[in-house]
Amino acid sequence: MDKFKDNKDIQVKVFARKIDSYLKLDILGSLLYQSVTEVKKEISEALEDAEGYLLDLTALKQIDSTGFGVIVNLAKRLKTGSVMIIIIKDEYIRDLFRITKLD
Amino acid sequence: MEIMQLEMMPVNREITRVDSAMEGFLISVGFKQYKDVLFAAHELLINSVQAMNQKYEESCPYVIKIEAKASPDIVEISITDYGGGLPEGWRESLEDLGFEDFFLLESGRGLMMINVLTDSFECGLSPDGAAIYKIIKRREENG
Repeated sequence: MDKFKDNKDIQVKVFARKIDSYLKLDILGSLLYQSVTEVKKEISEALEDAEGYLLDLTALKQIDSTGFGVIVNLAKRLKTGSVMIIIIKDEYIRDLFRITKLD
Repeated sequence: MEIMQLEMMPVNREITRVDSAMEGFLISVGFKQYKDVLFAAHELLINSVQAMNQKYEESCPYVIKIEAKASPDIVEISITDYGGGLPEGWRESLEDLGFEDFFLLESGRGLMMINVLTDSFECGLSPDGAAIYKIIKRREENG
């Protein structure tokens, strides 16, 4: 049997920065079950009130249903009336967003 | 018929290893829609790990068994665990849901996605209490 891989093999990073009255969140790597607890924590720490949110998934390589759960929960936490724009580059991930009607 | 069989402990870090082996298998058999199958199989593994951890906590005596078969027409993935299976009426519940509900759900997103990404999705219990999940994806004509 192969040597067990540690959770750290799932590389995912969250970066946040304010651009005027908008908050830009970048999620890079794999947004998967194995790392989702860590990502939720990082997003919670980075989240702040803003007029709008830009979720940049350009460097997202993989996502699963728990990753979609993270995005849904993020959207639910936003201030009423604020806007969230999601940028997706990967064609397959974009298809998944279409299927789930989150596009 | 190409066949791959694997076993894994019901722990999160093992999902990564099986995902990787599954991806290698699907690519090696030239299955064009491998990403759909990989996504669905990954969701089944999450369910199995969660179900077995919930049932046995730290002292699970069972492994999860994975079998992938590829023929010229289909790919079939079977996952066997001892987590108890899906609740009665799961199929009807799944069919009642639409993706309009996806945003509001607290759980079940994975099952909805498996259902839409595969051509067949079944779950049954064997006489010894094992839950067997089976997904089938037909090969596209050009795949």
